[in-house]
Amino acid sequence: MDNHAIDSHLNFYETKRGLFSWIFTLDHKRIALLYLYSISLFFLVGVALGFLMRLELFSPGGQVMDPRTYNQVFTFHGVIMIFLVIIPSIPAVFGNFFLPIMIGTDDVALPRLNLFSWWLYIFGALMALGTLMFGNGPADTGWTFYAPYSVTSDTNVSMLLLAAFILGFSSILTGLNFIVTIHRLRAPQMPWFRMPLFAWGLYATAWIQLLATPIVGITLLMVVMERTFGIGLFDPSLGGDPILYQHLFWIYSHPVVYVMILPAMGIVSEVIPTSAQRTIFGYKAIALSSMAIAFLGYFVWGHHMFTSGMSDQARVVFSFITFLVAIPTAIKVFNWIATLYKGSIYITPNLLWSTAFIFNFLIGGLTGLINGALAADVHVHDTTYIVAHFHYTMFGGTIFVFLGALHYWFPKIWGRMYNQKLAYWALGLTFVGFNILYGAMLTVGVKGMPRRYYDYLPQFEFLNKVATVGSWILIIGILLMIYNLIRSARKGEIAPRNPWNGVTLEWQVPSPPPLHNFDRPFILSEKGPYDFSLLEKINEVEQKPLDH
Amino acid sequence: MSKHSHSPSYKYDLITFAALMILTIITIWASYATGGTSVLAVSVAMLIATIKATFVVRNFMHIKYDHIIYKVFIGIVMLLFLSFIVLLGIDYALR
Repeated sequence: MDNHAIDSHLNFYETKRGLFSWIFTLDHKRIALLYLYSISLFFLVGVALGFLMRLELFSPGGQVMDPRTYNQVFTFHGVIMIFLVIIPSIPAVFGNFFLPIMIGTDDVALPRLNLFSWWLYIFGALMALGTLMFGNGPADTGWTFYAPYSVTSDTNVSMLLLAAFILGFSSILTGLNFIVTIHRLRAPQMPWFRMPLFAWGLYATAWIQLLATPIVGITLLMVVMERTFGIGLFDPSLGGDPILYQHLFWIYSHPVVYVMILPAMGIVSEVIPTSAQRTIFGYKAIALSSMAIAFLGYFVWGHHMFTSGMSDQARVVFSFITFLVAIPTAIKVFNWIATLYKGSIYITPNLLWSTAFIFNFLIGGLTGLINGALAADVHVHDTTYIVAHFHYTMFGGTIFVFLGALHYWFPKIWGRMYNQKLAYWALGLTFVGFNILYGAMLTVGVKGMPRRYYDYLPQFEFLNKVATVGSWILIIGILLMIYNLIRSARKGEIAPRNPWNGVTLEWQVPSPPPLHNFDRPFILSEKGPYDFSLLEKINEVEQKPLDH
Repeated sequence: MSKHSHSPSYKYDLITFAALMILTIITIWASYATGGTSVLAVSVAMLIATIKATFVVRNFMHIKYDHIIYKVFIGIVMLLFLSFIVLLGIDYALR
């Protein structure tokens, strides 16, 4: 190893102080925390908007807002949660913090580009927020910006589109950075198939960020051009083709679902071996299935458009390819369960967040198969069933893993332990609230309730009330978790180097890590990243003082 | 770029530039010859643009001299975009 032992024992918080030392930092860990705090803030805004929407839908008729505001609220909720929270969440926070450490290096390959990505993110976010203050207020098109309405709406669509365009650049640069880092900076003793599975997840994700994002960037600019100059690209009244917009939008926006979920799957592949204290079952299959999902994910976008008027032949082709994606996804789930089988399982909130993810994602995945089936999709299309399916995969999937990862790596990031009892309560409330909310939405969707509707028929009232009550439980769980983590970061017990007995490299550095990550040579196994026979040797490091 | 064993010369760059100019002229001529807005016109324009882009990537961006992995990456990206066009084509041709 290129041993970057530093002169002091200062951790990365202590090396420099002051606001500027943070917002102009080149340290990957600090940039990760900048992302974490920004994303958390926007997540809370998104949750608040979701809360308002559920309040509005508590009973038929107007409750707390008018129809136009409702359209703007669900659009803004979607834009914030997709572009400002879920897409950047795991790669930008945990990828930035842990990728360099897990592959045995001291930073990402392009630290300045990394900082620039965060600044682009902030600039894009401010621009999105700016739509609240100018003209006719935020866009009311839905986060998908479907033409031709996005061309004709008198709200601030152009500004929001430009914000999404800038956020796309932030995502591209992060992906580029990770690809270069993984290719160029892996420890010499770490060939591809000894890389932790989280790094594999990030690698597959980075290729999607790099290749798919430019397509949506150009597409959104085309809408801006159409709005500004009246070029007939998507608006039929100008000679354009609205289905072309949907094609171009989903060519990006389906693969981006895997940008959201693949890193989460990578984290689950880290938490489960650590919790079961045994090597992961089917390492290569999981690693390659990430690449397979990333690859296949490019060819299934049409399943979002089965009712759009696309040709029958295209619909059949897209439906068929969609079913193929289920195969690598199932490989992962089977391997996680096989890893747990007969393992020496430590029940911790970390593990339970991951198993909650598997439960939620199975529902999300299986309901997705129904959407992928042409005949069934026609019936559930544009109902709250789709909204619930999407939230089962994105919230129950990515966000659950994001929150689980916050717990798993909490001791490493803040150097303190969190209160486990409160963590169990928070997880329980979040899980129960989540399933009540979206379980009710799945059901009422199958019964025929359309999505994005401000008002509804009386027969849908009971399940809407159930969903709204579920949202309250969910929010209490999230607030309890935030309270627990913030309090623990300040007053929790001091964390050791390796509190969960993990064997990947982040558990061999101090908690929190020093500026250049490694304070001594690390231990790598030739048997791969999850060789638990090394655990004793790794934990001996904790006892030994560092020689200078 | 690896060994610089075959560094590009100005002459080589100028030949590439001349080829790009000739292809640009052919693009303009082809747009008149094929009617400008027909499927054939767009196909011809895209074909010529692809050839031009290949020259730029290969010669001006020095991929010709680079490690094989970069060529593989670019090849995969090209195939990816080709597959997008094929899948879109299935819809447009049969709608």
